[in-house]
Amino acid sequence: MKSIIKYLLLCVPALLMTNAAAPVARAQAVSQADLIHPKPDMWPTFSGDYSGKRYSPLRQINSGTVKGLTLAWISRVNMQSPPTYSDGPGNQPPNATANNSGSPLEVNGILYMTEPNALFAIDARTGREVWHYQWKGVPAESLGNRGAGIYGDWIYFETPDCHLISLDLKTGKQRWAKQFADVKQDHWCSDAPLIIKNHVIVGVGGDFLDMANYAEARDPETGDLQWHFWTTAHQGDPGFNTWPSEKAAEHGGGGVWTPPSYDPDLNLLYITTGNVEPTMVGVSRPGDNLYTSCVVALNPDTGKMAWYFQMSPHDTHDWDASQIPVLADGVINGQPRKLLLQAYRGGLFFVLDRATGKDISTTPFVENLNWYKGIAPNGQPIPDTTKEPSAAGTLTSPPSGGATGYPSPAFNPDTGLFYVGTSQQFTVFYRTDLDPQPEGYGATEHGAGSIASELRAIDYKTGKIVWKRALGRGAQNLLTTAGGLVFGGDGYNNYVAWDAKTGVPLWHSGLLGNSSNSITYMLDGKQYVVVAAGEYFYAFSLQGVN
Amino acid sequence: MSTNLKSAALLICVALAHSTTALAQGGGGRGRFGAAGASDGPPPVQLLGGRFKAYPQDAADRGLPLYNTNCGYCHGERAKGGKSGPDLVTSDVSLHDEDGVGIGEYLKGAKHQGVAKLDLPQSTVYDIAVYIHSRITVAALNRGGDTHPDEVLKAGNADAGKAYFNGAGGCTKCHSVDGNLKGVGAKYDAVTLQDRIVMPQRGGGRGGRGGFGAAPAGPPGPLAITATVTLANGQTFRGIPVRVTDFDVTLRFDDGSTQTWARNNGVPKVDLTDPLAGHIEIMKTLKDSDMHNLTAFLATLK
Repeated sequence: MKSIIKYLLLCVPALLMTNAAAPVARAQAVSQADLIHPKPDMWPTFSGDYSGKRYSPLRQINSGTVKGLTLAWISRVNMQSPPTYSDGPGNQPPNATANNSGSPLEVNGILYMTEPNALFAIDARTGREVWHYQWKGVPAESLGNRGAGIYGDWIYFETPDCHLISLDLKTGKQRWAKQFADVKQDHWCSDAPLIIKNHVIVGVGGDFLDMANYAEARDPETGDLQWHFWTTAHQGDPGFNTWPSEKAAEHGGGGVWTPPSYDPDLNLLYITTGNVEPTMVGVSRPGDNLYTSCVVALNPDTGKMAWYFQMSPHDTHDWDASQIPVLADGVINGQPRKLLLQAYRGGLFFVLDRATGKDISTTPFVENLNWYKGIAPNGQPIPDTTKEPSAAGTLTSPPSGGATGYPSPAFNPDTGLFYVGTSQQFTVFYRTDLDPQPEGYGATEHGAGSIASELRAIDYKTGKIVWKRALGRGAQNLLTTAGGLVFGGDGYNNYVAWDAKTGVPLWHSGLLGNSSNSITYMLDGKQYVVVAAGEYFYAFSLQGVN
Repeated sequence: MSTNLKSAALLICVALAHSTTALAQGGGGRGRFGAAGASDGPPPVQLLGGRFKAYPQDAADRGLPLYNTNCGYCHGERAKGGKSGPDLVTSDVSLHDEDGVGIGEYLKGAKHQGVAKLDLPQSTVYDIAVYIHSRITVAALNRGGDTHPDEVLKAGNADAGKAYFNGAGGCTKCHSVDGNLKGVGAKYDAVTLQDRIVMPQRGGGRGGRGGFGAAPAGPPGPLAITATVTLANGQTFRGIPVRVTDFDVTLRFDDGSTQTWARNNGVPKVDLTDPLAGHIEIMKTLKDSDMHNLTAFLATLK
């Protein structure tokens, strides 16, 4: 009885807060203000807002109440069900089963989730399918899709064959489809569009055939091109001299395939770029190879570059910088600073001034890294060239998969901690393509023993690890809340809520797979946490809250 | 219409028919080599990597010398570009070509005729185009490639490896050249030997914490990870860990049976024993030169 009373008492402030909120009108259009400061009943961008923090101010589910979290509904995404609407120039079948690798969105009581060539609208209260759109594309790599973007009454998503699709948010009826990359060049597109004012930001990826990639802004009403930014420095661009030739630069990779972040006060868009190509052999591309493996700040109205910061000069290990750039306002040495935080695939935690791109600190967030000789005064690592892949084999940590990957980290402004899934492993990189003009990957790797996989909490002020929790592989895709919680998968098919301050697990539920990104929102005074695992979506809410 | 053009037309028709079939079947997936079609009717067109049309190998084989004779002077070896001709592996003309039709049209066009006049029969163009397509698919899909054991051997010094084996490496704690490593150099190539240094094979059970997967029934092999579960009352169980998480632990016993315990706040306690922990530990300080030398030494143990 004591615990029930304690539970009810803990719920009271949150219930009062939510009951006091005005009733939600039906089908509100999503405004720019909503994307900057989302209402409690919505999760309208990949990361919840523009900041990439994946932080929710909701606190009904908190460290005191989370033990009462229980399943509200479960929903299977049925790729074989007949679509409500479909269109497209080809006959490419959808993947046989769903395997969510992006983030759902939630607006007006409807969840929106993507798969390659498909977008599903699902009732956020019940899990029932509302509508389902299918794109009939031409053959293209269909590994995954990060999600959609919403603005006004429209939803936008990218297809593997690089079309930007605009659908009616309420019905799923197609408004237009615009191709923005040539799939014959082996580009493939999977990013979640981000809408900034009257710009839909899209990214083009693909690191198989050596090509240059780019980001673009498209008109939300028509899909027409507004600006185009090459992610490799072309002739006349600053940094072009980091390539040996125009040909190398124009075939140098730098895919844009994870969602950017945006600071409305600075009016800067932060995109991240993928690995250079040829990927693991650098003999034909001496130089830093800008702007691959970078964070690049752009003016979203013009596409003009404000600054760049390269996490891995002249990368030869497939370490893109595609990890989510997290925008946080913090205090460094007693001074308030606008920060950009990134846990980079190569195992380094970067704290940048997001107004200038200047590095504030660079620290390893895992142990046993052996690929760089030190940190330069500008905060960049100095690569150890002896650790490039060789025909004889080069023992390296981390492997190409990195010390972390594309799944989302999270930052909680209440704790000041940056949460990230990590792994430590060695690998032997073997150069396979011995031609002086290698192509594609040009190397392979043979994995060595795994040392550790952990969820880690980093103090952004010092780079120090405040707590860590041993978990399985894939322990990422994190969400944090004002309720003092971090949600995510543990790599063993458990979806877990950890105490944000200590890392102690407070609640878990076993799922039918490892979880992808989760989101949270408030409907009818009830906070939901929704998570995908494979082809299933699960919604959790507190027992006793109606 | 030439034989090759007829073949091309047939292939296009087959491709369209196959695509419709595949949609109806809802087949597909990543990196597939084309979904299987119905057992009757024309064979389906294969898509390499799920997106590149597969062409006959014999045409690619014919195309290589034809390419070298007619194109290689300008476009370089392997169509990677030369002094006076662009890279054809990543050229839009090649990438948009199908069955040599687009390449043939380009060759006849003013742009190419202005720099090099080529008057080739379409059957030759087809074979050259297929060779170029084979280069495109290799470049785009060959993410690994073959390793070079001879290069591994060349990099190492067997004498230095022997000294490392008997000294700083500490290998003799568990290994001997006349015992468990006898003849190892005859059993494996140099790449495999080197891989075994940093990733020995356990013969059942995998490394890491949790998610160990199923182990074969019977007593654990000498290299398998084992776990001891200690309950709150002090009772202990030893077996092969199938799964160890913060919330549960599952052991498999010698008779093949399994048992799971729920865990809370680290209770019951789980202690793992990994006989190969030394190999994982040594990676933290192992130099590439020591790894190559050790491999060269192991290769002499024939």
